[in-house]
Amino acid sequence: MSQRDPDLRIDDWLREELDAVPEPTRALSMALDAAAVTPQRRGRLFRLRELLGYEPATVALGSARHPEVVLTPGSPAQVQAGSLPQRRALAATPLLSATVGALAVLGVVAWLAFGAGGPLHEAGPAAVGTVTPEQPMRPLDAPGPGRVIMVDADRGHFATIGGAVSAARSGDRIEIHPGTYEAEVAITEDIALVGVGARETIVVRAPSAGPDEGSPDQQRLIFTLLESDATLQGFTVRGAFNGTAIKVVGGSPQLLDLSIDPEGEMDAGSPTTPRESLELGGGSTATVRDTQMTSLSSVIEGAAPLLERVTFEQGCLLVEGAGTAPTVRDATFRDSGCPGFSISVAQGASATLTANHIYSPPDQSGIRVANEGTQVSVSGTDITGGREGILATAGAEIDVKRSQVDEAEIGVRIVDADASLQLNRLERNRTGLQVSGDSYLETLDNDICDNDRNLDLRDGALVPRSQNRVCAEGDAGAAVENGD
Amino acid sequence: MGSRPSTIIAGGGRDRKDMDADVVVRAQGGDQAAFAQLATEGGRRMNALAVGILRDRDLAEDAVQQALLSIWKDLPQLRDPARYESWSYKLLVRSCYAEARKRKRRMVEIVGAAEREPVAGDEIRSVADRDQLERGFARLSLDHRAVVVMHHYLDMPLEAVASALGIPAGTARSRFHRAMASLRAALEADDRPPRPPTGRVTNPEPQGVEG
Repeated sequence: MSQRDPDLRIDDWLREELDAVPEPTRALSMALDAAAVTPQRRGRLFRLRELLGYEPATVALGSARHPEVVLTPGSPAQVQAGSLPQRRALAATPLLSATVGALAVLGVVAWLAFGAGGPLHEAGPAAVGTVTPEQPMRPLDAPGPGRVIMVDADRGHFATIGGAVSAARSGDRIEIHPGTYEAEVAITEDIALVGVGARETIVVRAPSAGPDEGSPDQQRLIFTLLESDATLQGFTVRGAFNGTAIKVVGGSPQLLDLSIDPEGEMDAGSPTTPRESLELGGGSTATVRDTQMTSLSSVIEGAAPLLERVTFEQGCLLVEGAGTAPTVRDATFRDSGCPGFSISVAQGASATLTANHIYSPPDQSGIRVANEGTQVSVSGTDITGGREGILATAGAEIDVKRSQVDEAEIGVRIVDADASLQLNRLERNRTGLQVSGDSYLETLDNDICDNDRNLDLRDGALVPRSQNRVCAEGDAGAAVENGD
Repeated sequence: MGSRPSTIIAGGGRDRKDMDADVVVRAQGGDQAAFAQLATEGGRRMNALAVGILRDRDLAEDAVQQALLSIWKDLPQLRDPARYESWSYKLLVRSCYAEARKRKRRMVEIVGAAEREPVAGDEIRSVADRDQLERGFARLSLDHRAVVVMHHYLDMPLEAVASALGIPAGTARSRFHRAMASLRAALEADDRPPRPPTGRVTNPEPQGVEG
């Protein structure tokens, strides 16, 4: 019987198997066909294909925002007012029947192209149907670089944000003056909506409930950014009912210096369904910076945004799904109001969490990482309090560097997961480090000191490499070793 | 772990070439011929990586196709042309994951293993190895297969694998460790005479852990 090194046998087998794999002729042919599309158009074509779910080759050329699409008089594109759910339903109708691709596109574009909304003194949502866009209260400059559209109830071009958004084209700047506005707006152009004045004095909220929309369960979206590189800056977005304040699908928008808070108090009886401040998806690479979110959860799924200097007060962050890869930097999480955690990364998502500050209530995990395929990198983060500072479980992978966990029940808890800990300080916890189940742990140069119990390594866990400083209990300098 | 065989041609077998950064730059600028060169020269290796990860040639080719489309679309955003290769693998692995999710059909063995002629003598050993390894490899997760193929077949150091996959080096090492341990176990199971199964004693699940 052969006694060759198993690794050599594995290597030989793998090379033999994979050397026999042929050229991917079909894939190459398709890719080279795609390369025949001009570089200028290709990004937009691909994005549109992703949105529509079929090849954009069936789409005609035209329109400012989506040059591949023709807007035809009398088409569903004239549907432009009414609540967003109503418009979405109408736009979806031709999509469902999508035997003719172009008609489906027109339905989508109808939804993409227009917004609606108004100040508090206006009536509820306008009737659905063929509606003339809101006319400006005073003349607008012709579209061009640097055009400014003012929103103000008395002296603006428009009294409503929806009217201004409908009139705006990429490159325009919409200046919102102090006041309270109702809006339910879809943005597809690369425009800027900027508050002029203190952000607390400029409040944008969902429209008042209409006669058929009075249920607290009604989902409402205030801003929907679709394939847009828009900027929202310097105002307050107030969530209504159980909706989402800002939903981002695709694009690289900038959300800067915003305050997002709920309308009134949270539903006391439904802590498991917090309203959402932000929903990021569709491959978006949005930037969210210098923004405060209060009592609301944020969801990232299928996006790779940057969240920087964002404060979550009694809120939390959920990161879920493969293809999700946010970077969260210098954020503060305080007193999570969500069930079980301040940050949850699960279901195959990856996340880079850097220089964050987490203050957890006693029954919460600061960072919870779960499920196979989920991969999280934590660095420079300090976590105080909570049931676990960091919990990795159910096949997840986590890499923690230069971070500190203190005053938690368990500083770092690894259960059936893989972890790498380097240069961390786990101090003043009930248990510093607990590893159990089918876990694999690499540790190097960690300080695990002054915990009631520094280490709790249970059967099944592998800790192959360790040069840690484990203080107290007469164990100073001891290394953690239980074999490879 | 034993040392890797030095007689193997470095870099994923028969068609290894370093991508020319100039070609990448030209492709970034929209040069279709340059892109065609990148796709053609790297195509077979990408396909091998995808087959290694997905264990299904049809799925693999779909993943390669999607990856090439992504490469063409996103190439202008690649900052360092010298990193084209690892960047392209990153997109490919992502496409593999997407294909695996999209089509949750039964994974099939690589075509070829069942078609080989029976062998005799010393070669029985390698046939038995192959069967064990195929089964062991199919049992690995996509994550683990990606690391093994990139490290063993594409000869990428684990640090480079980690970079290409966008994971920490420690994670790449742990995945490789687990994958190799599993494959070695598959071989050892065949090396040993049969014996009664033994149960593994594990701790009860800790309270309060949520999946």
